[in-house]
Amino acid sequence: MKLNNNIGCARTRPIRPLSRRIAFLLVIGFAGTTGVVWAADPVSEVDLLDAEKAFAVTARVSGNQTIEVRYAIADGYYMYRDRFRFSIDGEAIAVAKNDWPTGIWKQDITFGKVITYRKSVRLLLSPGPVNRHVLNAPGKILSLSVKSQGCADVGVCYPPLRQTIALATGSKGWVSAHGEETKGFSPDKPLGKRLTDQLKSGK
Amino acid sequence: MARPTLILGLGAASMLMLAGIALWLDRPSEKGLVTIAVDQKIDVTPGTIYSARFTDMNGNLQEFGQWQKKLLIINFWATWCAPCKEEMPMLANIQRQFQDKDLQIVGIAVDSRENVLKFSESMPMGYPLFPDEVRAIEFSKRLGNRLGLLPYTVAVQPGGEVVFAKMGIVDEQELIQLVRNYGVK
Repeated sequence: MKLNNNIGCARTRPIRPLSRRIAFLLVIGFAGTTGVVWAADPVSEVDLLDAEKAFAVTARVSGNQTIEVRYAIADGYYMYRDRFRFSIDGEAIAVAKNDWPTGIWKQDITFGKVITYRKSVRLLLSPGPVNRHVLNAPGKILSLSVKSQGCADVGVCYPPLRQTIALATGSKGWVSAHGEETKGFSPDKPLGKRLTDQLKSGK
Repeated sequence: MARPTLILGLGAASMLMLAGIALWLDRPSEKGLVTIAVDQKIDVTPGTIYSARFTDMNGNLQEFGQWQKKLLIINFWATWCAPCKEEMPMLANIQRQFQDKDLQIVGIAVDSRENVLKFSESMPMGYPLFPDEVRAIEFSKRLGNRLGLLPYTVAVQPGGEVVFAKMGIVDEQELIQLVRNYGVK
């Protein structure tokens, strides 16, 4: 009977300070345990974008002399300046006037100072005489080969990415590597938002 | 039951459940995989691993079958991969630590011989490096690296079973533990 009374009292009594402290410690322990589990996770493929999404390229014929290439770089990813290569039908194309956009310097033990780009990079390419001639002829298709390479901040690098973009002369529209006409850049989204969207769409 | 006891009981149960989940996540699989980057089985035969042949920095063709009695750690890397170069001194240290033991580390570079030479001159590794811009990625994909990302490290126990695979920088203690677990003497 006495025991039952005690139980009855306990039900109506507020939590004592000692119990609160223990509860607090348990919560901290809970957070700590889950934190350890998360921290121990290796980099997983599902946390990373496909290279073509991480480094989305579009291009267009820009005037009579140049081709404009743009990369929309996902949040948490970066690209190396010295790893870009461009060509049309085997003819290498240089960046016009060697005028590269300002990037971010990084020190590398093998190559010294290297330049990287984040968020986006826009390059103006100057084709050689043959392709410049084609550039001025309307109704032709130029097959622009682009090679690039980048990494993710989580500590992995993608292998060199080779893509081809079919550009129609006389058209000023932006074209992706999949042949889709685009508006150039898609608005930058944080990586978390991109992943959420990716998971929702199941792609 | 008194409320404090109830809270304690629930807390303890939660802790036990979490500990169970943590242990379950960290469990070795049926094939003995310790850590794996992706939720997939690495379906590769010992023959595929041991028949692989790559040319070393001295221009000699090396067949991986020569290491079938050792724990073989294959590290895929490139000179343009900063995280790869960050972890390589640690790999060199482990190879040194287990020098003349049943452990062999090899580095397969998705890179040109020229770049690898430049790198190894500034940072000698103490284990074989194999530059191959084309076949390196293909081989890493055969070993479970679907996207061809670097660095990527796999460990093959004597006999040809893949017992560890990880994308990204490998933790030194984790690797040392792995080496000891597989009885490297």
